Amino acid sequence: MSVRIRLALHGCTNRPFYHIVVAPSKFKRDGRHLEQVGSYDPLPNTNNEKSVALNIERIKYWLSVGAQPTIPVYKLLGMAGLLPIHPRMYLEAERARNAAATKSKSSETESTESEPQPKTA
Amino acid sequence: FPHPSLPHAMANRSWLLKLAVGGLSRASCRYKSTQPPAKSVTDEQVQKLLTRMTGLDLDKVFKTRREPLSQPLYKLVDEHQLKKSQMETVQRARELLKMPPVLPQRKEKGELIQDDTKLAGLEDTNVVFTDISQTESNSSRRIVVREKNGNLRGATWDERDRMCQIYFPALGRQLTLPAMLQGNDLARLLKEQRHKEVLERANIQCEPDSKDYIRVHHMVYDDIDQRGLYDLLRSTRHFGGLLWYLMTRQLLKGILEEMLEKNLMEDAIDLVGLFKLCYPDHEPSKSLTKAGKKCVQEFCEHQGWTDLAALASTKIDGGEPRSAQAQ
Repeated sequence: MSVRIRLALHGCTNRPFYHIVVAPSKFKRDGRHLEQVGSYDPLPNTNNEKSVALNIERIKYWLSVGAQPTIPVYKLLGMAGLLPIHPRMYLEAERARNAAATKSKSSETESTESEPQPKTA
Repeated sequence: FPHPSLPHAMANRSWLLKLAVGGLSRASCRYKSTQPPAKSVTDEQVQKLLTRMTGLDLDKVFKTRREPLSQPLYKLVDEHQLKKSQMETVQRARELLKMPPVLPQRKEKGELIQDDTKLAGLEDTNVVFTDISQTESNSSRRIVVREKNGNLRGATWDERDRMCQIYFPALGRQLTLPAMLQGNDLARLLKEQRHKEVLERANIQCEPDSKDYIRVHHMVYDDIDQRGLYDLLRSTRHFGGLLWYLMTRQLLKGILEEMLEKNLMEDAIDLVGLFKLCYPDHEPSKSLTKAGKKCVQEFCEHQGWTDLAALASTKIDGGEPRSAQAQ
């Protein structure tokens, strides 16, 4: 058992909202924790941005005494510039780009196929 | 024609323009050159003059307003206690009339921190990270944005204001700019002479160095100057800002005319004194020799405002002292 920095799921049905908490892995996901050090809203707001709050001071303290961030939290801290980027993120990004590229190619070929043939007299 | 006592007017185009249109109406006198004054707005002497010109009308400062119902309080006091409470009231009024800061517009933020295009495609939206450490103040809080293309950059002022309002809400502030501070709604409120309300809302909503704060304040001041509605802001904390705006843009004819018409000779003298303080190297300041009430007449003559000079000369003997106007 070790102290983790992880996401605790709050919010309600079809509306997730995460608290970034420091808790030993023994405690329940949404239950008792040592301290809340931030929040993460996975749904974009009206300005099309996802907002993450991080109590950098306290996160730095907990990291210094050996708290282990879970992968999602590590990714958030990496994106924020506090920790190095997780290698999996580069992999996921490349996969996403490839998927987007193949999708656009297939939609292009579909549209050329579905174009109406010119009527012959 | 240039006044004979202004031999250097030809060298300075803006002064020439002023003389050329001196005889025309107030509206056509408008030009927006901002000449940097010799003193800053926070200077002690400047503040003293601005505070004096703002005045202190207790009936206006403590105007009746809606508050939650409560039992009226009656006190039986002797003369000494009555005087003491009156002095405390005046002190409270002075606190309420303190000028909000007048600052230049803040420089744009949003500098690139890290160029990481290999992360492009990971997220389909921007992700904004706000540092919610308790020891930070909103102005120095670290707020960064990881963009869709993978770049990490500092947040723009717009993003900063929004995030600070989300996590550390200021009382009375909205996330988006209220409709009354923009477009048609703002124009309608100015038409209804609700300038003070607009300025109060802008002071609550925006930071003093933000683009919207400055835009709203300048629009309100311009409207007041064009319609001669200076009395709307007199004895409020916005009057100092109005005076400073007019002073830095040399738009003094309207307000001087209003002060003379309303018999506020001491205010007119203070206005000319403020001009001498802010622009000591300009022509009128160098040539003004007379002191007191005659100074105002001399100033008007130098500027080529003959109608105002005539008005000033009739008022030199009259005029209520400022102490009689304050309650």
